[in-house]
Amino acid sequence: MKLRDLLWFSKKEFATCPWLYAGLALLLVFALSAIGMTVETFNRAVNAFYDYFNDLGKNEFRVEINGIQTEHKHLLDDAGFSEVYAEGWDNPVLFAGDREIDTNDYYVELYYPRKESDFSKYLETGSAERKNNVLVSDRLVEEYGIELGDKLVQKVSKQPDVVYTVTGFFHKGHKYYDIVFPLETYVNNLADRGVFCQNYLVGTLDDARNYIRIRRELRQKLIIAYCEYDDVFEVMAVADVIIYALSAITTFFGVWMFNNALGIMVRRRTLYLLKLRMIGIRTSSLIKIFCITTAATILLSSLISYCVIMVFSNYIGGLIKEFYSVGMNNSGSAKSILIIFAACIVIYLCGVLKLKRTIGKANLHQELEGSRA
Amino acid sequence: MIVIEKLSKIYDTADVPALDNVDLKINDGEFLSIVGKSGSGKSTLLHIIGGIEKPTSGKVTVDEVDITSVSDNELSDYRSRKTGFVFQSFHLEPQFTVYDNVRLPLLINDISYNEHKERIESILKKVGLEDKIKSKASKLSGGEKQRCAIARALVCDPPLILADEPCGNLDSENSFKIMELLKNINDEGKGVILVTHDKEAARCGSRIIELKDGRIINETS
Repeated sequence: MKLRDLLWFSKKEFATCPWLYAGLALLLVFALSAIGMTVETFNRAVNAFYDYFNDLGKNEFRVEINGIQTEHKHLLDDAGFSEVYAEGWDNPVLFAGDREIDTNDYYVELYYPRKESDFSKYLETGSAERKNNVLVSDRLVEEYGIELGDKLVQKVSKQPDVVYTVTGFFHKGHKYYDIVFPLETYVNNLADRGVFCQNYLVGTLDDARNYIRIRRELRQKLIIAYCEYDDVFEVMAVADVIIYALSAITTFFGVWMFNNALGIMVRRRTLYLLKLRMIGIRTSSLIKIFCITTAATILLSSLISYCVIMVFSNYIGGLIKEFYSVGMNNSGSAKSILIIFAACIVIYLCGVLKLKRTIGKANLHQELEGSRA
Repeated sequence: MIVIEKLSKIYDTADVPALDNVDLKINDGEFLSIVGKSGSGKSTLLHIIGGIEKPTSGKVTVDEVDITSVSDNELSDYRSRKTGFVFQSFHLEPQFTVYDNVRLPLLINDISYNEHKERIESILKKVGLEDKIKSKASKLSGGEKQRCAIARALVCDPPLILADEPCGNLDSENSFKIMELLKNINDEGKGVILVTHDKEAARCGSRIIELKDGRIINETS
Protein backbone atom coordinates (compact mmCIF):
# COMPACT_ATOMS: atom_id res chain seq x y z
CA MET A 1 0.00 0.00 0.00
CA LYS A 2 1.28 3.46 -0.87
CA LEU A 3 2.33 5.92 1.84
CA ARG A 4 -0.40 8.33 0.74
CA ASP A 5 -3.03 5.64 1.33
CA LEU A 6 -1.49 4.68 4.68
CA LEU A 7 -1.67 8.33 5.73
CA TRP A 8 -5.30 8.46 4.60
CA PHE A 9 -6.12 5.48 6.78
CA SER A 10 -4.16 6.96 9.68
CA LYS A 11 -6.02 10.25 9.38
CA LYS A 12 -9.33 8.40 9.36
CA GLU A 13 -8.19 6.41 12.36
CA PHE A 14 -7.68 9.63 14.35
CA ALA A 15 -11.00 11.02 13.13
CA THR A 16 -12.86 7.83 13.99
CA CYS A 17 -11.75 7.49 17.60
CA PRO A 18 -10.22 10.78 18.73
CA TRP A 19 -10.89 10.11 22.41
CA LEU A 20 -9.06 6.82 22.31
CA TYR A 21 -5.95 8.52 20.96
CA ALA A 22 -6.40 11.49 23.30
CA GLY A 23 -6.43 9.01 26.20
CA LEU A 24 -3.34 7.31 24.86
CA ALA A 25 -1.60 10.67 24.44
CA LEU A 26 -2.57 11.64 27.99
CA LEU A 27 -1.06 8.44 29.38
CA LEU A 28 2.10 9.07 27.40
CA VAL A 29 2.32 12.66 28.60
CA PHE A 30 2.00 11.30 32.11
CA ALA A 31 4.75 8.70 31.57
CA LEU A 32 7.15 10.98 29.70
CA SER A 33 6.61 13.88 32.08
CA ALA A 34 7.31 11.55 34.99
CA ILE A 35 10.58 10.50 33.36
CA GLY A 36 11.51 14.06 32.45
CA MET A 37 10.60 15.53 35.82
CA THR A 38 12.57 12.86 37.66
CA VAL A 39 15.64 13.48 35.54
CA GLU A 40 15.25 17.23 35.62
CA THR A 41 14.78 17.39 39.39
CA PHE A 42 17.96 15.40 39.93
CA ASN A 43 19.80 17.41 37.31
CA ARG A 44 18.75 20.68 38.85
CA ALA A 45 19.78 19.52 42.32
CA VAL A 46 23.17 18.26 41.10
CA ASN A 47 23.74 21.39 39.04
CA ALA A 48 22.86 23.54 42.03
CA PHE A 49 25.54 21.73 43.98
CA TYR A 50 28.19 22.27 41.32
CA ASP A 51 27.16 25.87 40.78
CA TYR A 52 27.45 26.39 44.51
CA PHE A 53 31.01 25.05 44.38
CA ASN A 54 31.87 27.12 41.33
CA ASP A 55 30.44 30.22 42.98
CA LEU A 56 32.64 29.63 46.03
CA GLY A 57 35.68 30.07 43.84
CA LYS A 58 37.83 27.90 41.64
CA ASN A 59 37.83 24.47 43.05
CA GLU A 60 41.28 23.30 43.96
CA PHE A 61 42.05 19.94 42.56
CA ARG A 62 45.23 18.36 43.90
CA VAL A 63 47.18 15.83 41.93
CA GLU A 64 49.84 14.19 44.03
CA ILE A 65 52.90 13.15 42.05
CA ASN A 66 56.08 11.87 43.67
CA GLY A 67 58.77 13.72 41.81
CA ILE A 68 57.47 15.90 39.05
CA GLN A 69 58.46 14.60 35.65
CA THR A 70 58.15 16.30 32.30
CA GLU A 71 55.73 13.68 30.99
CA HIS A 72 53.28 14.54 33.76
CA LYS A 73 52.58 17.80 32.09
CA HIS A 74 51.07 15.93 29.16
CA LEU A 75 48.83 14.02 31.51
CA LEU A 76 47.67 17.26 33.00
CA ASP A 77 47.25 18.77 29.55
CA ASP A 78 44.92 15.93 28.64
CA ALA A 79 42.99 16.22 31.87
CA GLY A 80 41.96 19.77 31.02
CA PHE A 81 43.04 21.91 33.96
CA SER A 82 42.71 25.62 33.59
CA GLU A 83 45.78 26.35 35.75
CA VAL A 84 48.61 24.22 37.14
CA TYR A 85 51.26 25.17 39.69
CA ALA A 86 53.46 23.39 42.21
CA GLU A 87 53.22 23.24 45.95
CA GLY A 88 54.98 21.62 48.87
CA TRP A 89 58.55 21.76 47.63
CA ASP A 90 61.74 22.80 49.45
CA ASN A 91 62.95 26.35 49.12
CA PRO A 92 65.76 26.54 46.55
CA VAL A 93 69.15 28.09 47.28
CA LEU A 94 69.34 31.12 44.99
CA PHE A 95 72.00 33.73 44.35
CA ALA A 96 71.66 37.12 42.69
CA GLY A 97 75.25 37.88 41.80
CA ASP A 98 77.17 36.92 44.92
CA ARG A 99 74.27 37.59 47.34
CA GLU A 100 72.10 34.73 48.47
CA ILE A 101 68.38 35.42 48.28
CA ASP A 102 66.55 34.65 51.45
CA THR A 103 63.83 32.38 50.07
CA ASN A 104 62.21 32.24 53.51
CA ASP A 105 61.36 35.89 52.98
CA TYR A 106 61.16 36.05 49.20
CA TYR A 107 58.88 33.24 48.14
CA VAL A 108 59.18 31.34 44.90
CA GLU A 109 56.31 30.37 42.62
CA LEU A 110 56.63 27.51 40.15
CA TYR A 111 54.09 28.11 37.49
CA TYR A 112 53.14 25.89 34.60
CA PRO A 113 51.79 28.12 31.85
CA ARG A 114 49.13 26.50 29.67
CA LYS A 115 50.04 29.01 27.02
CA GLU A 116 52.43 31.94 26.71
CA SER A 117 49.79 34.50 27.63
CA ASP A 118 49.19 32.68 30.95
CA PHE A 119 52.77 33.22 31.95
CA SER A 120 52.64 36.83 30.87
CA LYS A 121 50.04 37.53 33.52
CA TYR A 122 52.94 37.72 35.99
CA LEU A 123 54.69 40.21 33.83
CA GLU A 124 54.83 43.98 33.78
CA THR A 125 58.20 44.62 32.18
CA GLY A 126 60.26 42.43 29.88
CA SER A 127 59.30 39.18 28.16
CA ALA A 128 58.24 35.75 29.31
CA GLU A 129 60.31 33.31 27.33
CA ARG A 130 59.93 29.84 28.67
CA LYS A 131 63.47 28.59 28.44
CA ASN A 132 65.53 29.20 31.63
CA ASN A 133 63.92 32.52 32.37
CA VAL A 134 62.84 33.92 35.69
CA LEU A 135 60.55 36.78 36.59
CA VAL A 136 61.12 38.82 39.73
CA SER A 137 59.07 41.33 41.72
CA ASP A 138 59.83 45.02 42.02
CA ARG A 139 60.48 44.40 45.75
CA LEU A 140 63.28 41.97 44.95
CA VAL A 141 64.61 44.28 42.27
CA GLU A 142 64.82 47.10 44.76
CA GLU A 143 66.46 44.96 47.45
CA TYR A 144 69.07 43.26 45.25
CA GLY A 145 69.46 45.83 42.46
CA ILE A 146 68.52 43.31 39.77
CA GLU A 147 68.27 44.42 36.13
CA LEU A 148 66.85 42.75 33.03
CA GLY A 149 69.36 40.18 31.71
CA ASP A 150 70.90 39.57 35.13
CA LYS A 151 71.41 35.98 36.21
CA LEU A 152 69.93 34.12 39.17
CA VAL A 153 71.93 31.06 40.09
CA GLN A 154 70.41 28.04 41.79
CA LYS A 155 72.80 25.93 43.81
CA VAL A 156 72.01 22.23 43.84
CA SER A 157 73.84 19.25 45.30
CA LYS A 158 75.19 18.27 41.91
CA GLN A 159 77.11 20.49 39.49
CA PRO A 160 76.82 22.47 37.40
CA ASP A 161 74.63 25.17 39.01
CA VAL A 162 71.43 26.10 37.25
CA VAL A 163 71.53 29.57 35.75
CA TYR A 164 68.37 31.55 35.01
CA THR A 165 68.15 34.88 33.19
CA VAL A 166 65.89 37.60 34.57
CA THR A 167 63.61 38.39 31.63
CA GLY A 168 60.87 40.36 33.33
CA PHE A 169 59.58 42.19 36.39
CA PHE A 170 56.19 42.28 38.04
CA HIS A 171 54.60 44.42 40.70
CA LYS A 172 54.61 42.69 44.09
CA GLY A 173 51.34 44.19 45.33
CA HIS A 174 49.57 41.62 47.49
CA LYS A 175 51.24 38.65 45.86
CA TYR A 176 52.90 36.26 48.27
CA TYR A 177 55.73 35.40 45.92
CA ASP A 178 58.67 37.41 44.50
CA ILE A 179 60.21 34.94 42.07
CA VAL A 180 58.42 33.01 39.31
CA PHE A 181 60.02 30.07 37.55
CA PRO A 182 58.45 28.21 34.69
CA LEU A 183 57.68 24.87 36.29
CA GLU A 184 58.70 22.70 33.37
CA THR A 185 62.14 24.29 33.00
CA TYR A 186 62.72 24.26 36.71
CA VAL A 187 61.85 20.60 37.11
CA ASN A 188 63.80 19.56 34.03
CA ASN A 189 66.88 21.41 35.18
CA LEU A 190 66.77 19.56 38.49
CA ALA A 191 66.05 16.24 36.81
CA ASP A 192 69.07 16.74 34.51
CA ARG A 193 71.20 16.89 37.65
CA GLY A 194 69.58 13.83 39.19
CA VAL A 195 67.60 15.85 41.71
CA PHE A 196 63.94 14.96 42.06
CA CYS A 197 61.36 17.14 43.70
CA GLN A 198 59.16 15.56 46.35
CA ASN A 199 56.12 17.75 45.81
CA TYR A 200 52.81 17.86 44.10
CA LEU A 201 51.03 19.76 41.45
CA VAL A 202 47.89 21.71 42.08
CA GLY A 203 45.52 22.19 39.22
CA THR A 204 42.45 24.37 39.26
CA LEU A 205 39.25 23.62 37.44
CA ASP A 206 36.88 26.19 35.96
CA ASP A 207 33.95 23.87 36.43
CA ALA A 208 33.59 21.43 39.32
CA ARG A 209 31.46 19.19 37.05
CA ASN A 210 34.67 17.99 35.42
CA TYR A 211 36.20 16.75 38.67
CA ILE A 212 34.97 13.14 38.62
CA ARG A 213 35.86 12.69 34.96
CA ILE A 214 39.37 14.12 35.41
CA ARG A 215 39.99 12.08 38.52
CA ARG A 216 38.91 8.93 36.68
CA GLU A 217 41.19 9.74 33.72
CA LEU A 218 44.17 10.37 35.98
CA ARG A 219 43.53 7.21 37.97
CA GLN A 220 43.61 5.27 34.73
CA LYS A 221 47.14 6.67 34.38
CA LEU A 222 47.93 5.60 37.95
CA ILE A 223 48.06 9.16 39.27
CA ILE A 224 46.31 9.72 42.56
CA ALA A 225 44.09 12.75 42.53
CA TYR A 226 42.06 14.07 45.39
CA CYS A 227 40.33 17.18 46.57
CA GLU A 228 38.97 18.39 49.86
CA TYR A 229 35.36 17.52 48.96
CA ASP A 230 36.06 14.07 47.54
CA ASP A 231 33.26 12.38 49.53
CA VAL A 232 30.68 14.88 48.38
CA PHE A 233 31.76 14.46 44.76
CA GLU A 234 31.41 10.70 45.19
CA VAL A 235 27.79 11.21 46.18
CA MET A 236 27.29 13.44 43.18
CA ALA A 237 28.69 10.71 40.94
CA VAL A 238 26.19 8.28 42.45
CA ALA A 239 23.42 10.79 41.75
CA ASP A 240 24.21 10.44 38.06
CA VAL A 241 23.75 6.69 38.28
CA ILE A 242 20.50 7.22 40.20
CA ILE A 243 19.24 9.49 37.42
CA TYR A 244 19.79 6.79 34.81
CA ALA A 245 18.38 4.07 37.05
CA LEU A 246 15.25 6.09 37.78
CA SER A 247 14.90 6.93 34.09
CA ALA A 248 15.13 3.26 33.20
CA ILE A 249 12.56 2.28 35.85
CA THR A 250 10.18 5.04 34.78
CA THR A 251 10.67 4.10 31.13
CA PHE A 252 9.87 0.50 32.02
CA PHE A 253 6.61 1.60 33.64
CA GLY A 254 5.97 3.85 30.64
CA VAL A 255 6.38 0.88 28.31
CA TRP A 256 4.13 -1.25 30.50
CA MET A 257 1.45 1.42 30.64
CA PHE A 258 1.66 2.28 26.96
CA ASN A 259 1.57 -1.35 25.89
CA ASN A 260 -1.48 -2.04 28.02
CA ALA A 261 -3.20 1.05 26.66
CA LEU A 262 -2.25 0.04 23.14
CA GLY A 263 -3.57 -3.48 23.73
CA ILE A 264 -6.89 -2.09 24.96
CA MET A 265 -7.03 0.30 22.03
CA VAL A 266 -6.34 -2.41 19.46
CA ARG A 267 -8.91 -4.69 21.09
CA ARG A 268 -11.46 -1.89 20.95
CA ARG A 269 -10.62 -1.45 17.29
CA THR A 270 -10.72 -5.18 16.52
CA LEU A 271 -13.92 -4.93 14.54
CA TYR A 272 -12.47 -2.15 12.42
CA LEU A 273 -9.32 -4.20 11.86
CA LEU A 274 -11.50 -7.15 10.97
CA LYS A 275 -13.39 -5.13 8.39
CA LEU A 276 -10.18 -4.00 6.75
CA ARG A 277 -8.74 -7.53 6.83
CA MET A 278 -11.95 -8.82 5.31
CA ILE A 279 -11.65 -6.31 2.48
CA GLY A 280 -8.14 -7.58 1.89
CA ILE A 281 -5.72 -5.25 3.65
CA ARG A 282 -2.43 -6.92 4.51
CA THR A 283 -1.43 -7.36 8.15
CA SER A 284 1.78 -5.42 7.47
CA SER A 285 -0.25 -2.46 6.16
CA LEU A 286 -2.47 -2.55 9.24
CA ILE A 287 0.58 -2.50 11.48
CA LYS A 288 2.01 0.39 9.46
CA ILE A 289 -1.21 2.37 9.91
CA PHE A 290 -1.07 1.89 13.68
CA CYS A 291 2.65 2.65 13.68
CA ILE A 292 1.93 5.98 12.01
CA THR A 293 -0.89 6.84 14.41
CA THR A 294 1.10 5.83 17.50
CA ALA A 295 4.19 7.66 16.22
CA ALA A 296 2.14 10.81 15.74
CA THR A 297 0.63 10.34 19.22
CA ILE A 298 4.07 9.88 20.77
CA LEU A 299 5.43 12.92 18.93
CA LEU A 300 2.58 15.11 20.15
CA SER A 301 2.83 13.68 23.67
CA SER A 302 6.57 14.25 23.84
CA LEU A 303 6.13 17.88 22.77
CA ILE A 304 3.48 18.44 25.44
CA SER A 305 5.65 16.57 27.97
CA TYR A 306 8.62 18.78 27.06
CA CYS A 307 6.57 21.91 27.83
CA VAL A 308 5.34 20.39 31.10
CA ILE A 309 8.91 19.47 32.09
CA MET A 310 10.27 22.90 31.22
CA VAL A 311 7.60 24.63 33.31
CA PHE A 312 8.25 22.21 36.16
CA SER A 313 12.04 22.45 35.99
CA ASN A 314 11.92 26.23 35.90
CA TYR A 315 9.78 26.11 39.01
CA ILE A 316 12.25 23.72 40.69
CA GLY A 317 15.13 25.93 39.50
CA GLY A 318 13.43 28.93 41.07
CA LEU A 319 13.03 27.10 44.38
CA ILE A 320 16.68 26.03 44.41
CA LYS A 321 17.81 29.53 43.54
CA GLU A 322 15.69 30.90 46.35
CA PHE A 323 17.05 28.43 48.93
CA TYR A 324 20.69 28.26 47.90
CA SER A 325 21.14 31.63 46.16
CA VAL A 326 22.98 30.09 43.22
CA GLY A 327 22.49 30.78 39.55
CA MET A 328 21.15 27.86 37.52
CA ASN A 329 22.52 26.69 34.22
CA ASN A 330 20.56 24.58 31.74
CA SER A 331 23.10 21.83 31.09
CA GLY A 332 20.69 19.35 32.67
CA SER A 333 17.94 20.03 30.13
CA ALA A 334 19.93 18.53 27.29
CA LYS A 335 20.25 15.34 29.31
CA SER A 336 16.49 15.34 30.02
CA ILE A 337 15.71 15.76 26.33
CA LEU A 338 18.04 12.92 25.41
CA ILE A 339 16.56 10.64 28.05
CA ILE A 340 12.99 11.48 26.99
CA PHE A 341 13.96 10.88 23.37
CA ALA A 342 15.47 7.51 24.29
CA ALA A 343 12.39 6.67 26.38
CA CYS A 344 10.13 7.58 23.42
CA ILE A 345 12.09 5.28 21.14
CA VAL A 346 11.94 2.41 23.66
CA ILE A 347 8.23 2.92 24.31
CA TYR A 348 7.52 3.17 20.59
CA LEU A 349 9.50 0.07 19.62
CA CYS A 350 7.86 -1.96 22.38
CA GLY A 351 4.51 -0.58 21.20
CA VAL A 352 5.22 -1.70 17.64
CA LEU A 353 6.05 -5.21 18.85
CA LYS A 354 2.83 -5.24 20.85
CA LEU A 355 0.85 -4.11 17.78
CA LYS A 356 2.46 -6.77 15.66
CA ARG A 357 1.57 -9.43 18.18
CA THR A 358 -1.99 -8.24 18.82
CA ILE A 359 -2.92 -7.60 15.20
CA GLY A 360 -1.11 -10.68 13.94
CA LYS A 361 -3.00 -13.06 16.17
CA ALA A 362 -6.48 -11.57 15.58
CA ASN A 363 -8.79 -14.36 14.42
CA LEU A 364 -11.07 -13.05 11.69
CA HIS A 365 -13.57 -15.86 11.78
CA GLN A 366 -13.90 -15.76 15.55
CA GLU A 367 -14.38 -12.00 15.50
CA LEU A 368 -16.99 -12.29 12.77
CA GLU A 369 -18.92 -14.89 14.72
CA GLY A 370 -18.58 -12.74 17.84
CA SER A 371 -19.81 -9.63 16.07
CA ARG A 372 -22.84 -11.52 14.78
CA ALA A 373 -23.63 -12.71 18.29
CA MET B 1 -13.88 -22.50 -10.72
CA ILE B 2 -13.71 -23.36 -7.03
CA VAL B 3 -12.92 -26.95 -6.14
CA ILE B 4 -13.30 -28.06 -2.53
CA GLU B 5 -11.82 -31.43 -1.62
CA LYS B 6 -12.20 -33.29 1.67
CA LEU B 7 -12.54 -30.06 3.60
CA SER B 8 -12.69 -30.40 7.38
CA LYS B 9 -12.63 -27.90 10.17
CA ILE B 10 -12.46 -28.73 13.84
CA TYR B 11 -12.41 -25.90 16.37
CA ASP B 12 -10.43 -26.33 19.55
CA THR B 13 -13.48 -25.46 21.60
CA ALA B 14 -15.87 -27.93 19.93
CA ASP B 15 -16.09 -31.70 20.11
CA VAL B 16 -17.79 -32.18 16.76
CA PRO B 17 -16.27 -30.94 13.48
CA ALA B 18 -17.74 -27.76 11.99
CA LEU B 19 -17.02 -29.22 8.54
CA ASP B 20 -16.54 -32.91 7.90
CA ASN B 21 -14.96 -34.05 4.61
CA VAL B 22 -16.86 -31.67 2.37
CA ASP B 23 -16.41 -32.05 -1.40
CA LEU B 24 -17.88 -29.41 -3.64
CA LYS B 25 -17.39 -27.76 -7.01
CA ILE B 26 -18.61 -24.24 -7.72
CA ASN B 27 -18.62 -23.02 -11.30
CA ASP B 28 -17.65 -19.52 -12.37
CA GLY B 29 -20.65 -17.21 -12.34
CA GLU B 30 -22.80 -19.64 -10.38
CA PHE B 31 -25.32 -18.53 -7.76
CA LEU B 32 -24.94 -21.07 -4.98
CA SER B 33 -27.09 -21.02 -1.89
CA ILE B 34 -25.95 -22.80 1.24
CA VAL B 35 -28.64 -23.53 3.77
CA GLY B 36 -28.69 -25.26 7.08
CA LYS B 37 -29.50 -24.78 10.72
CA SER B 38 -27.42 -22.74 13.07
CA GLY B 39 -24.10 -24.48 13.75
CA SER B 40 -24.33 -26.64 10.63
CA GLY B 41 -21.05 -25.22 9.32
CA LYS B 42 -22.34 -23.05 6.48
CA SER B 43 -20.65 -19.82 7.63
CA THR B 44 -17.42 -21.71 8.28
CA LEU B 45 -17.52 -23.05 4.73
CA LEU B 46 -18.09 -19.53 3.37
CA HIS B 47 -15.27 -18.09 5.46
CA ILE B 48 -12.86 -20.77 4.28
CA ILE B 49 -13.83 -20.13 0.65
CA GLY B 50 -13.32 -16.40 1.31
CA GLY B 51 -9.90 -16.95 2.87
CA ILE B 52 -10.70 -15.59 6.31
CA GLU B 53 -10.50 -18.97 7.98
CA LYS B 54 -8.06 -21.84 7.56
CA PRO B 55 -9.34 -25.43 7.39
CA THR B 56 -8.02 -28.20 9.60
CA SER B 57 -7.56 -30.38 6.52
CA GLY B 58 -8.54 -30.48 2.87
CA LYS B 59 -8.06 -28.16 -0.07
CA VAL B 60 -9.85 -25.21 -1.59
CA THR B 61 -8.63 -24.54 -5.11
CA VAL B 62 -9.65 -21.26 -6.68
CA ASP B 63 -8.62 -20.90 -10.33
CA GLU B 64 -6.08 -23.67 -9.78
CA VAL B 65 -4.52 -22.03 -6.71
CA ASP B 66 -4.86 -23.81 -3.37
CA ILE B 67 -5.79 -20.95 -1.07
CA THR B 68 -5.36 -23.08 2.06
CA SER B 69 -1.60 -23.25 1.57
CA VAL B 70 -0.78 -19.68 0.48
CA SER B 71 0.88 -17.04 2.68
CA ASP B 72 -1.03 -14.48 4.70
CA ASN B 73 -0.18 -11.75 2.18
CA GLU B 74 -1.32 -13.85 -0.76
CA LEU B 75 -4.54 -14.62 1.08
CA SER B 76 -5.07 -10.89 1.68
CA ASP B 77 -4.53 -10.25 -2.04
CA TYR B 78 -6.99 -13.03 -2.85
CA ARG B 79 -9.61 -11.45 -0.61
CA SER B 80 -9.09 -7.99 -2.03
CA ARG B 81 -9.04 -8.94 -5.73
CA LYS B 82 -11.20 -12.02 -6.09
CA THR B 83 -13.89 -11.72 -3.44
CA GLY B 84 -16.38 -9.26 -2.05
CA PHE B 85 -17.96 -9.92 1.34
CA VAL B 86 -21.47 -9.03 2.45
CA PHE B 87 -22.39 -9.76 6.06
CA GLN B 88 -25.50 -9.79 8.17
CA SER B 89 -24.03 -7.08 10.43
CA PHE B 90 -22.98 -4.98 7.39
CA HIS B 91 -19.54 -4.28 8.90
CA LEU B 92 -19.45 -0.71 7.69
CA GLU B 93 -17.35 1.85 9.51
CA PRO B 94 -20.08 3.95 11.16
CA GLN B 95 -17.98 7.13 11.42
CA PHE B 96 -17.08 7.07 7.73
CA THR B 97 -19.32 8.44 5.01
CA VAL B 98 -20.85 6.11 2.44
CA TYR B 99 -18.25 7.39 -0.03
CA ASP B 100 -15.34 6.53 2.28
CA ASN B 101 -16.74 3.12 3.17
CA VAL B 102 -17.02 2.19 -0.49
CA ARG B 103 -13.60 3.69 -1.15
CA LEU B 104 -11.75 1.39 1.26
CA PRO B 105 -11.25 -1.54 -1.18
CA LEU B 106 -10.05 0.88 -3.89
CA LEU B 107 -7.33 2.18 -1.57
CA ILE B 108 -6.32 -1.30 -0.50
CA ASN B 109 -6.11 -2.42 -4.13
CA ASP B 110 -3.99 0.59 -5.13
CA ILE B 111 -6.56 1.75 -7.68
CA SER B 112 -5.63 5.15 -9.10
CA TYR B 113 -7.20 8.09 -7.23
CA ASN B 114 -8.53 9.42 -10.56
CA GLU B 115 -10.83 6.44 -10.86
CA HIS B 116 -12.20 6.51 -7.32
CA LYS B 117 -14.96 9.08 -7.73
CA GLU B 118 -16.25 7.66 -10.98
CA ARG B 119 -16.27 4.08 -9.72
CA ILE B 120 -17.92 4.94 -6.42
CA GLU B 121 -20.62 7.08 -7.99
CA SER B 122 -21.33 4.42 -10.55
CA ILE B 123 -21.62 1.60 -8.02
CA LEU B 124 -23.73 3.68 -5.62
CA LYS B 125 -26.10 4.47 -8.49
CA LYS B 126 -26.35 0.75 -9.16
CA VAL B 127 -27.39 -0.02 -5.58
CA GLY B 128 -29.61 3.05 -5.34
CA LEU B 129 -27.57 5.04 -2.84
CA GLU B 130 -26.36 7.88 -5.07
CA ASP B 131 -28.16 10.47 -2.94
CA LYS B 132 -26.53 9.17 0.29
CA ILE B 133 -22.94 9.52 -0.88
CA LYS B 134 -22.03 12.07 1.81
CA SER B 135 -24.10 10.53 4.60
CA LYS B 136 -22.40 8.85 7.50
CA ALA B 137 -22.88 5.09 7.55
CA SER B 138 -24.33 5.32 11.05
CA LYS B 139 -27.18 7.47 9.73
CA LEU B 140 -28.36 4.92 7.15
CA SER B 141 -31.29 2.54 7.56
CA GLY B 142 -30.68 -1.23 7.69
CA GLY B 143 -31.48 -1.75 4.01
CA GLU B 144 -29.28 1.18 3.01
CA LYS B 145 -26.42 -0.14 5.10
CA GLN B 146 -26.62 -3.49 3.38
CA ARG B 147 -26.73 -1.85 -0.04
CA CYS B 148 -23.70 0.20 0.95
CA ALA B 149 -21.96 -3.04 2.01
CA ILE B 150 -22.82 -4.59 -1.36
CA ALA B 151 -21.45 -1.50 -3.13
CA ARG B 152 -18.24 -1.89 -1.18
CA ALA B 153 -18.06 -5.57 -2.12
CA LEU B 154 -18.58 -4.73 -5.80
CA VAL B 155 -16.47 -1.63 -6.24
CA CYS B 156 -13.28 -3.49 -7.18
CA ASP B 157 -15.23 -5.69 -9.56
CA PRO B 158 -14.37 -9.07 -7.96
CA PRO B 159 -15.58 -12.24 -9.74
CA LEU B 160 -17.07 -13.70 -6.55
CA ILE B 161 -19.49 -12.25 -3.97
CA LEU B 162 -19.78 -14.02 -0.63
CA ALA B 163 -22.92 -13.16 1.28
CA ASP B 164 -23.33 -14.39 4.84
CA GLU B 165 -26.97 -13.99 5.94
CA PRO B 166 -27.26 -10.65 4.13
CA CYS B 167 -30.96 -10.33 5.00
CA GLY B 168 -30.64 -11.50 8.59
CA ASN B 169 -31.13 -8.00 10.02
CA LEU B 170 -33.59 -6.69 7.46
CA ASP B 171 -37.38 -6.55 7.11
CA SER B 172 -39.05 -8.46 4.29
CA GLU B 173 -39.22 -5.48 1.95
CA ASN B 174 -35.54 -4.72 2.28
CA SER B 175 -34.68 -8.43 2.14
CA PHE B 176 -36.49 -8.66 -1.17
CA LYS B 177 -34.54 -5.66 -2.54
CA ILE B 178 -31.22 -7.13 -1.45
CA MET B 179 -31.98 -10.49 -2.99
CA GLU B 180 -32.97 -8.74 -6.22
CA LEU B 181 -29.68 -6.93 -6.13
CA LEU B 182 -27.73 -10.16 -5.65
CA LYS B 183 -29.63 -11.76 -8.52
CA ASN B 184 -28.78 -8.80 -10.76
CA ILE B 185 -25.13 -9.10 -9.77
CA ASN B 186 -25.22 -12.78 -10.69
CA ASP B 187 -26.94 -11.96 -13.98
CA GLU B 188 -23.94 -9.74 -14.81
CA GLY B 189 -21.75 -12.82 -14.63
CA LYS B 190 -20.40 -12.68 -11.11
CA GLY B 191 -20.48 -15.73 -8.91
CA VAL B 192 -22.53 -15.43 -5.73
CA ILE B 193 -22.36 -17.73 -2.73
CA LEU B 194 -25.20 -17.05 -0.36
CA VAL B 195 -25.35 -18.47 3.13
CA THR B 196 -28.82 -18.30 4.61
CA HIS B 197 -31.21 -20.17 6.83
CA ASP B 198 -34.11 -18.73 4.87
CA LYS B 199 -35.15 -21.34 2.30
CA GLU B 200 -37.21 -18.76 0.40
CA ALA B 201 -34.14 -16.57 -0.11
CA ALA B 202 -32.07 -19.62 -1.00
CA ARG B 203 -34.30 -20.26 -4.01
CA CYS B 204 -32.66 -17.29 -5.74
CA GLY B 205 -29.66 -19.57 -6.24
CA SER B 206 -29.27 -21.78 -9.27
CA ARG B 207 -28.14 -24.54 -6.91
CA ILE B 208 -28.88 -25.11 -3.25
CA ILE B 209 -26.85 -27.26 -0.90
CA GLU B 210 -27.92 -28.12 2.59
CA LEU B 211 -25.45 -28.68 5.41
CA LYS B 212 -25.99 -30.60 8.60
CA ASP B 213 -23.31 -31.28 11.19
CA GLY B 214 -20.64 -30.18 8.75
CA ARG B 215 -21.73 -32.49 5.92
CA ILE B 216 -23.64 -31.84 2.72
CA ILE B 217 -26.88 -33.75 3.12
CA ASN B 218 -28.83 -32.44 0.20
CA GLU B 219 -28.16 -30.74 -3.13
CA THR B 220 -30.83 -29.39 -5.47
CA SER B 221 -30.58 -27.48 -8.72
